[in-house]
Amino acid sequence: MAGSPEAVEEETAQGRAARSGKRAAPAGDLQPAKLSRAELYKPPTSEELSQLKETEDLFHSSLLRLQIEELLKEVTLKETKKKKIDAFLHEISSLLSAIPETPETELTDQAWLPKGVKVPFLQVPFSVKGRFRFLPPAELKVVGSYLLGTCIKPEINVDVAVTMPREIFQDKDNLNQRYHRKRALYLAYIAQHFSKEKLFGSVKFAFMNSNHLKPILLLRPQGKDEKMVTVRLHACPAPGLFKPSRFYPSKNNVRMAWFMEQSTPKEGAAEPPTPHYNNSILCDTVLLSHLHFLSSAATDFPGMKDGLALLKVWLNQRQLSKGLGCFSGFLVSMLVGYLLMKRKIVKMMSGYQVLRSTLQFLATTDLSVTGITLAKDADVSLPVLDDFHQAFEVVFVDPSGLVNLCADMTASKYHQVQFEARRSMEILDDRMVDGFQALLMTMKPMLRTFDHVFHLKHVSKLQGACKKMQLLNELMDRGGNYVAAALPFVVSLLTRGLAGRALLVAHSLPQIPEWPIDTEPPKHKDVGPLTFGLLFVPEFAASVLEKGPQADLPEAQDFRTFWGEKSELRRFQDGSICEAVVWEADTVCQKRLIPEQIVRHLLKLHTDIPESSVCYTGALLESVIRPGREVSGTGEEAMVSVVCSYDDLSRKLWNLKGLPLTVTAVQGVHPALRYTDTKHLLLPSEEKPCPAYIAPLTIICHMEGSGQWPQDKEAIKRIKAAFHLQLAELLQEQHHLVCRPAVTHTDVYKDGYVFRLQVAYHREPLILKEVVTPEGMLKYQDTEESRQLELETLHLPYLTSSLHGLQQQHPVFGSTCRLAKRWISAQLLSDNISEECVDLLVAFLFLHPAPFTPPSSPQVGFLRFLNLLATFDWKNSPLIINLNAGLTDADCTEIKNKFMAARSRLPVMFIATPKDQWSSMWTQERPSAQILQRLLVLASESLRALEEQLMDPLNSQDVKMVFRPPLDLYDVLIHLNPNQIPRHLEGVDRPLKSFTRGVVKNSAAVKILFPVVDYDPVQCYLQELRDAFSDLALFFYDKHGGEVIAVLWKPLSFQPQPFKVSNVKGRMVTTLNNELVCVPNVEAILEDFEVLGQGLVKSVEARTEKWTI
Amino acid sequence: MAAAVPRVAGAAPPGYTALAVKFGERQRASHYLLVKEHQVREGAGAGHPPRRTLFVLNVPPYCGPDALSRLFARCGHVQSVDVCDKPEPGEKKEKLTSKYFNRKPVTGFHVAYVVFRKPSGVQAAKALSQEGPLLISTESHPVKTGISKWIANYGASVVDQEELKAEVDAYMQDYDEKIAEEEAKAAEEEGVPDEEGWVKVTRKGRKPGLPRTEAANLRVLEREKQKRARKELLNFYAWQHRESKREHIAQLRKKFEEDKQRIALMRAQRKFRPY
Repeated sequence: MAGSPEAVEEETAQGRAARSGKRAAPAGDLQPAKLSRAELYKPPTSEELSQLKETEDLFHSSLLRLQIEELLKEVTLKETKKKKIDAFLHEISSLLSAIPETPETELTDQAWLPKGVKVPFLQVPFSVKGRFRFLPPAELKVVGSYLLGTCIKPEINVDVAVTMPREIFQDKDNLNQRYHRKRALYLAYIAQHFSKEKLFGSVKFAFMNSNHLKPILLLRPQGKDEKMVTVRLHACPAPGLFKPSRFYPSKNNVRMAWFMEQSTPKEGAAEPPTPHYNNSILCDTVLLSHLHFLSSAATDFPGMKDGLALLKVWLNQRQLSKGLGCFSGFLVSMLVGYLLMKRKIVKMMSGYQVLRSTLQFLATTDLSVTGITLAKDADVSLPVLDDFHQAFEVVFVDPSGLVNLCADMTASKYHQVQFEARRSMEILDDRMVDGFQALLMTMKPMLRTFDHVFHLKHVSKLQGACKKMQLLNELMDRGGNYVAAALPFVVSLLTRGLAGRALLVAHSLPQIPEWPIDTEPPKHKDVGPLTFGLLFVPEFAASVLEKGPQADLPEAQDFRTFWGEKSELRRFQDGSICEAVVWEADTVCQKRLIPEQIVRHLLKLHTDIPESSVCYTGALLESVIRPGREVSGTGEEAMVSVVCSYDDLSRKLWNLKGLPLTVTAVQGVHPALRYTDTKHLLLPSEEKPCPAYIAPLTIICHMEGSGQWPQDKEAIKRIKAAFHLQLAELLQEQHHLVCRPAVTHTDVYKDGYVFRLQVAYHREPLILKEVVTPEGMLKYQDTEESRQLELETLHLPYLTSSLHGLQQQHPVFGSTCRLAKRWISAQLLSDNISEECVDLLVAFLFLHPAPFTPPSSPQVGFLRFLNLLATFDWKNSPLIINLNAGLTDADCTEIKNKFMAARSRLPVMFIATPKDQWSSMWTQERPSAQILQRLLVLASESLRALEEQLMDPLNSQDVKMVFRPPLDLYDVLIHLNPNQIPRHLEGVDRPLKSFTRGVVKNSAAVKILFPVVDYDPVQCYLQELRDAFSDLALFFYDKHGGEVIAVLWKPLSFQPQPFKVSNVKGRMVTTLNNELVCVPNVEAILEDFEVLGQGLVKSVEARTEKWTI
Repeated sequence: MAAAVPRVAGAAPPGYTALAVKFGERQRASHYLLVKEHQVREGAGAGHPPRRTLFVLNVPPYCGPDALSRLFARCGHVQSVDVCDKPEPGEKKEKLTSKYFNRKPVTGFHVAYVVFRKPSGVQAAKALSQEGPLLISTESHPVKTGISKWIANYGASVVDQEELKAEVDAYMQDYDEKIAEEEAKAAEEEGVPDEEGWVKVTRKGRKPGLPRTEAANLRVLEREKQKRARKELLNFYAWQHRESKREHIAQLRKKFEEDKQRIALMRAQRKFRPY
């Protein structure tokens, strides 16, 4: 124990291996740690004490410490690799100095450049003054994260600054991209020489952070090390070449006349400032000084290295660290340097604390309003922060006081960083969440993060937007990059339009991939589609009204121009007359899409982007949960009306006169009463084909306890039947409801729905449990019957009411659930997993969304559901769902510990809720391990396919694809006669032609006989099949109108078995190698499929020959 | 799944005879009923008398008692047919009398006991194996399956309210009488010692005793334990102090050890690859 942690770890790992070796299990189960008494209680060494104490002080818990150590091991660069890289760098340096010089030519005359290389620069306009010649570099310096030791996998980049000699430059090279072009030519010449060398595996160009003014040269070593490292050559000017004052943010360095290719400058027109252009040159001049700054910060500060690695992982997982205007690793290093300077971080801190402090700072500081600077002494000649704020959206000035490190970042991007930091701090402070997992290990792609996502299919349309918004100056400043010029304006436009509805409007970062040196550099339009993400405030996102200022106020004009024709004067109830915009939407699902209307309207109005180039993927999936043929609505209104009807019925039950005992509680248990029912509510009429399926909505009606109740289970059954009869009679008498009593329930027909009333007596489960021991003691033992009854009358109503509450908090809970269930059903697995289990899984997404926010659209909820299924480690961890916040931190730990101790006895999918901490009652029998495995595979496949489609706006999107099950692995397909499938219309691909199911609209006027309830021939058929053949085969069916039942033989039961009286079901006895054995009588069984389903089965298709024996 | 070995259709294990049955004319493959004379250990009841009873295994789901009795009618007069899920060693439980309660239909493949009037019927039945497959559903006596069966079932599930009511009333009347009788008997016995002098204490009466349930016993034990714990002194002696400190460190160590183990497992599963 006293040894170093590594030694101990190794030791235990060996111990484990020895222990698990006996069982030879491939992946070991988690066993509770066992230490001998002697080990536990031996006197501690001082070293160990200090380590334990340090863990408590510097980290949240020892687990977090270990996790972080492991993660760092995984991402940091190994020493052996460093040696190889150093050698590689050395060779590059010697090669560089050997490149011959060239004679001086005009900048525009590029004939001297060899054939095999193209200038990595978009030379628009082409003509420019100045002369260029190549001279070997004056200096070669490694800069950046490699020297600091903070570069992390997967992309090890080594930045090398190549100083171009002073002789290359002339006066006024700061103007009109002359410097940039020389820089590009310089790199091009180097690239051409290097491309011939055998040393390199690849020589390519890229734009630094996708900024097209800044090409860099990427060099990768030959052979298997090619993936290991990328050396990035940055060309930079000799120190002191440019006068810094020329590049203040308010100065101009790109002449309008040149940019517009006019021969003479316009008289009198002032040249606009070009801050971004200036910044791009300044960046090159300060590479070395930044390195010095960072290395002085990193000395004597071991925590910084770890902290930076963690922060970089954090940024990478959130897709913030790549592309134009990213929050790069370099930026975050500078930020840590700033915090160190401000003493918000001290050199004693651990990596975890650095991460925390940095996130804390980001969460609380808005750099788009109050910028920060690293410059120490106030040099009066330098520009002040206000100058920077005028020129840039986000301000973070470097030590020289000249360069804005966040020049390309949009305010929206910074707000996203800030939002993420805030959310991460919440997660870290919440002891219920595994912060490590949520912060550092979970990827947050846009599709799963944002409630709605839309794509701008063709960025070239932004050219028009620049024109419309008159962004010529910005265009000039950005060197003609219309995407970069227009993006901040488009985002701020959307932010204003969605203010109040959206918490966050984010955009993807434009990224330009690297390219080979012999092709032309990518154009601006090659960044691909731009993606925007919206995160909603659930309360306001769907509001139909946008209320503006009063008509007589000056702001009204502004409001009108912003909204255009949509804005109109309206009189409100309080008497005020205001400008307002009203969006058209009838159903809940349409209301959820109001942001789409806004986005499309604003983009059209202000930026001339046509609707056709906006691809909005907010509600593509919802079509599968739409009832009927009509385009509108996703059935949420129907659910509400069911609940209303149910409320009315329960009131009537409460007030029923003439019952011998009073009703103490009426509780709904059907999924529709918690808004998660996938089926659509229809009404049949007596027509020839099978009537539409009507599911009864089960309601439990608790009767008051009384001495009158008999204490015998048979007698209780009779009394309950009597109650059912009487309830039916009284409801008919007092409320004229059509009822049909039965032994176990009473069906009540009301408002077009059929409610199934079940009377419950609270002591009945107890009576079922009673067992008298031989000594005459009364004991309570769970029996199958009592468990079932408890589930129905106790737990299910509780779950239903909890989830009903959840729906009130999160309006899209129901729809998400229905999507999830529809998917499971479409994959033919709905009979293998209980509905309650799916409800709970979805509830988990809403109650424990970390690192995300609770979903506000069904689509994002569904994507996260798939991700949860695919990635959750069911084998080693329990899924704890804290419904109604009924579990404390200690409870959770206890559940986890007990879970580990009892893993082998618990169901494969273990779900704990406050009322059901140990038994996971909804997953006890289903799903089985094989089914769960299949579910995981299907989920990850579906997720991949779906995300691919949703992120690719240019291809046609058929999202229903993931709702069509693969049928090729099944052995037998039983095709059904659509005539007899009552729920045929619910199919994913709605049948073009179906049989009228006698769907009657909810009209009370029509006098209807009691409808056919709960009659689904397919379910009857499945029941019979499973009764007869459950030990030979598995049957799969999509209960929502599937036309096929898929059968999978169980391979084990097809092995010949010795004859046993209890084991002949469906088998025949035959001789095999002179032995009498039983084998399944497959031919007869296949015919039985047809016999049992006479009238329903169209054909039986045996697809494999696996069964031939 | 091995390569096709020539199969002997209708082979039967020792003691059994295999009879081929088909659902109807149209089916090509047939199931095999395994029949043998029902043998009982002595004392077993009169429900399935030996020598006259034929034990039938592997009866297909669509072949109910009626169909069975028709199949075997040609071998001799069938007295009764009992079907059940699996072979039952003992006597069949009392006949279910209620039309509405506790009805569990036999589903899937099942077994049957066919009782002939004469022992010769059993022998004749065994001899049927020589003939072609027996037909379960014939034109004169069709067996309902599929849609028509389910529709019939649905129809049957609609209860006659009056009849149900009458049945419930009758049952409850019986039950009430039985309870009343028991109570009267208990009241009579109350406080009266039996022949050894013991007096029975029940929940009823003036001095209800502790109920004899497991929960009550546990409650008593728990209370005792609490009482004892209250009397104990904590952190009073020096050794207690020492002990608790040692315990704290041990806890920390244990937790550390557990965490390490968890990490080792996660590492094995490559849980630390962030992307």
